[in-house]
Amino acid sequence: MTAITRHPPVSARRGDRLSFDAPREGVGGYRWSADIDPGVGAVTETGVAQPGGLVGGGAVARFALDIVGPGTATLRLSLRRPWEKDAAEIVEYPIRVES
Amino acid sequence: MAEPDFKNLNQTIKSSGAAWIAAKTSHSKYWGLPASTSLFGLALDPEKALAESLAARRTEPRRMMAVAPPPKRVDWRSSKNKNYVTPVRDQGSCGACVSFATCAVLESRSLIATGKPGVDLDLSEAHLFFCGTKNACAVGWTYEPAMAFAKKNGVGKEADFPYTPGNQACRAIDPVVKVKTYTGWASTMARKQALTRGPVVGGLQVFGDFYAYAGGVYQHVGGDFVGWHAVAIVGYDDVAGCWIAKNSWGTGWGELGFFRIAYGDCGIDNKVMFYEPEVRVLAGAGLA
Repeated sequence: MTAITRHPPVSARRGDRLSFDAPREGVGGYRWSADIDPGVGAVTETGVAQPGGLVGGGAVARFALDIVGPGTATLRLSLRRPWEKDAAEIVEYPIRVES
Repeated sequence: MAEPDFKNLNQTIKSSGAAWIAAKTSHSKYWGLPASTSLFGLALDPEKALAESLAARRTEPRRMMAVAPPPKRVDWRSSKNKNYVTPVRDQGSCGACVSFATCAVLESRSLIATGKPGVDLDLSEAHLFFCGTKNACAVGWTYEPAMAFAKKNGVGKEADFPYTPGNQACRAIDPVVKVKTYTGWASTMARKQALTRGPVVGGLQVFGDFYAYAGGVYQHVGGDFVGWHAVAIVGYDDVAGCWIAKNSWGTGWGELGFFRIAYGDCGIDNKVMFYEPEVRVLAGAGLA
């Protein structure tokens, strides 16, 4: 069963760079990935930040989203194991690009 | 985020002298997330770990002198053709690896203590994790508090408190295995000697390429540092130069859930001690 969290819409302008964090990166073999309609946005930078947790606590995955076009799209962050098909968790951020 | 070239990655593995295989997966384009160095930090205090390790290394050799050298290979999955390692479990997306590694070791040690190979003694990782620490799925735990909880309270059966991967309230259940004493070993000789008596709890630094491990003797060749991870060490092999470990990521990862890692790699035998418990098996374990 995939848990889905939908956040309220985010407003942006073309040329903006938005940053998104996702916790528990790497925990139990799970990693975050990001997808969005390439006509609206492009995930241009990724990174991992360590919050200083203990053994097994994992990290925070960071994604930078560059707004490249008009319209609306949903940034979808998926938490899944590389060797498994289904995501354990999906977090969605609707992006509305103002003209 | 470029799709990694697995041909190149496997060539890198080969040219670096490593002997493992990286496999393409549905998620592989994210294997090499670069570390955000300004925010990067170790999950353990490396100075404290090193000090403990050095202190132990100073005293252990004297204690080992009277002991016969360990054999070249130990594997509790096939010790005299008998299996003392319980099935691979799955921690899901909760940072409960310390609990899984500890329970795996307590299970094996219980089978060894009672001479019951092949039995699936299934201890409750939920009991150990959710009673031993609170709301820790996102932050993890550490080795010695887990051992201390199992010594003071014991660990019950999975059937009495089944594990699900999310923070939840402690449920008091009857213990079936208790830790009598536990010791942390630091020198290579002491680590191997401990493994002749049964599996031990260990830990390693996890990098991005570890997620792509599909078999062989793993050595870190690339990818970002993601965090520290606890596993059960179930053997070693001097010919292949590796530790043999049981992970808690299900059987779809690695060598049916197990992996081999080169001596000295990812801090497994120089930054984290091997924790060896002595167990007391209670009647409720069903191993009498």
